[in-house]
Amino acid sequence: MSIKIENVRKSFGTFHALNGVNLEIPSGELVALLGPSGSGKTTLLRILAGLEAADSGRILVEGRDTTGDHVRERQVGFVFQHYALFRHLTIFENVAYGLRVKPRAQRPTKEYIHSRVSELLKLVQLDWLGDRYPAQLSGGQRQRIALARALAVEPRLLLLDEPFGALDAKVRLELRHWLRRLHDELGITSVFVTHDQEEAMEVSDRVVILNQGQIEQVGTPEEVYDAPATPFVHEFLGLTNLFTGHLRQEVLAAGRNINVTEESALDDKEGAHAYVRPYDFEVSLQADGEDFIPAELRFAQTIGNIVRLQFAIAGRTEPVRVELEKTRFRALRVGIGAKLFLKPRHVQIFVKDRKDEASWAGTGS
Amino acid sequence: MSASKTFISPPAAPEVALQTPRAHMRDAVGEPAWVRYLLITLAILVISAILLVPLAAVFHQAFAKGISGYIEAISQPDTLSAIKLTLMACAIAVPFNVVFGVAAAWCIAKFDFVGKNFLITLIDIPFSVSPVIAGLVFVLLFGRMGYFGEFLSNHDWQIVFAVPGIVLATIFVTFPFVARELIPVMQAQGTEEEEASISLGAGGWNTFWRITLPNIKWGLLYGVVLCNARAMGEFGAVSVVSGHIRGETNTLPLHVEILYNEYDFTGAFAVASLLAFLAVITLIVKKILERGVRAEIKAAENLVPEQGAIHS
Repeated sequence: MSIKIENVRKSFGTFHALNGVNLEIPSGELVALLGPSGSGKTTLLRILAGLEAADSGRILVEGRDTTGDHVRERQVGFVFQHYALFRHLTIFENVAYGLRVKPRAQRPTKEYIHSRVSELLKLVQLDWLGDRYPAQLSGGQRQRIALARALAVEPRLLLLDEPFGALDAKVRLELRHWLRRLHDELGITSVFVTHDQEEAMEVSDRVVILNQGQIEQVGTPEEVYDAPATPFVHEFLGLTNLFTGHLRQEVLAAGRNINVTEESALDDKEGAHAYVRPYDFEVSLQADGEDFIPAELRFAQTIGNIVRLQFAIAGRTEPVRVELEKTRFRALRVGIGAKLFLKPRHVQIFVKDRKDEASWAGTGS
Repeated sequence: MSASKTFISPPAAPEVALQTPRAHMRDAVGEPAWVRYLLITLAILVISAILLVPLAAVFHQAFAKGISGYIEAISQPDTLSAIKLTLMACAIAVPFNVVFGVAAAWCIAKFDFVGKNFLITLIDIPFSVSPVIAGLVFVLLFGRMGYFGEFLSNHDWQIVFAVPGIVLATIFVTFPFVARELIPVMQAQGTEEEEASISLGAGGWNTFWRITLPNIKWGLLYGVVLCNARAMGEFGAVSVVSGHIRGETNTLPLHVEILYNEYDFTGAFAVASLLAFLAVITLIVKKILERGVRAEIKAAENLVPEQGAIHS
């Protein structure tokens, strides 16, 4: 079912968790709410579920205003970060709970409950655990049971609050893929909260990036990564190097000049931010042109197949972070202290619009 | 799916390997043998002198005139009526405090509201106020010269120096027991399970009976046992409001005092032995329940981390 969030605000005391959020979620999509802690993503999810009430604004479900509806009436499945399984009930009874507490008139028969629960346990591939208790399961198993329990009541909307946050890295990776496959199979409109950008990019159809109670950007994983709307989005989606300065024609003066390789549409504006991702540098032993920056290698660390380097550039206190493939770094045959040359291959430029401090014009080159 | 396969708990070998060094460590950081034995002996002596000897003395005195003397002492009509009154006061005070305690703990642990700390302090008042003062308060309120004295005597309602006064005083002194026991258990459990229950379509009442209550049952039983022990043993507050009318407003502890003051030592100790016996039973039940409460709190903490994969 499609959801429309209109100008939702929420404060806790003096803390503004949500500052007027507008968002549309098309039917059947898997949407990630991505943001740092305190960005309001969990609050937004809880308001969608009805576990929290918005101070103002509306939530429309298929065009109908559901802002005042009780949690019970929303037909929402909610999956908690810490599973929130009923510890005194068996796995089977946990999954059956939503069916057992239905009002007498709507309550399905015992046989139906039994077959439905067995079916759900098969769906999450844990049908052999029905008579265990939650404490006897591993974290990954508990989270799959929590999902089965939420699905038992046939929700129209599935909400997941950092569903893999408490799991160990390997299980997290496997459950991610599994969630994606499950969503493709069932097609329930789903929203999940995460602070892990990789998780959001990998699993979702659409990413909503939140910061300080506001939406910074909405788009497919490719869109937000390739064309971030704001400096925040660019910085949040991965390691990067920031160069600040004035933009004149193609040149950004940032202590030392960084040459922009292609012509930029922006000119003669002040207060520009230029970002270069660590893997977007060419590292060379000599300057093969004007746009090479002299730099001194200060630090090198090999992690698997890549080498993380830190360079010092004259007139800049922050080190420049560069990533190279191990074979390419070895081919350079240099060590700490070597004088090398860096050339940014791809620069993302943001220029502050003077009329409106909050909005940015961005371009990649 | 193979996610589960990655969580085979590590073999027990490292733990076994740790045991030998640990035993050595105890020698290295411990005190010399004579110091340890001296301290242990002292502790046993103190516990015997203060706890065991008096308890033995109670039963010894109670059976000084043999079993028949004991049975005779506790089957006197006044004693029987004291037992009845004490049981009745408990039968009213304990359920009252269970209902109040669960409601208060639910409020405090699951909701945030203005005046929460004030409420917690208020619940603790009976712990900090002397029971005698508590009794006096009821006399001041409901006694003949009290604020409601005239109103009560006009309607011919007797509270002080009658059973209602005893019940009120008992409720007052046992007020915090259930709530105090439940608040930490409920706080450790948080509100996620209740939220999960509501999101699955359960109403408040269903959620309370099916989720909240089963999760706190050990803590609740523990609170009830403590509350009951205190209700039966309360002396100070009940003494002030009782009026000491034999066969009418005399509870067990008050009856012990009366018998003792009349030099009926066998009778006094026989009745006292009933209370002591009750205390021992309470302790045993408490010990059993404590295990359950600990498991409840541990389960609350345990459900979070990634551990406890039982299967292979």
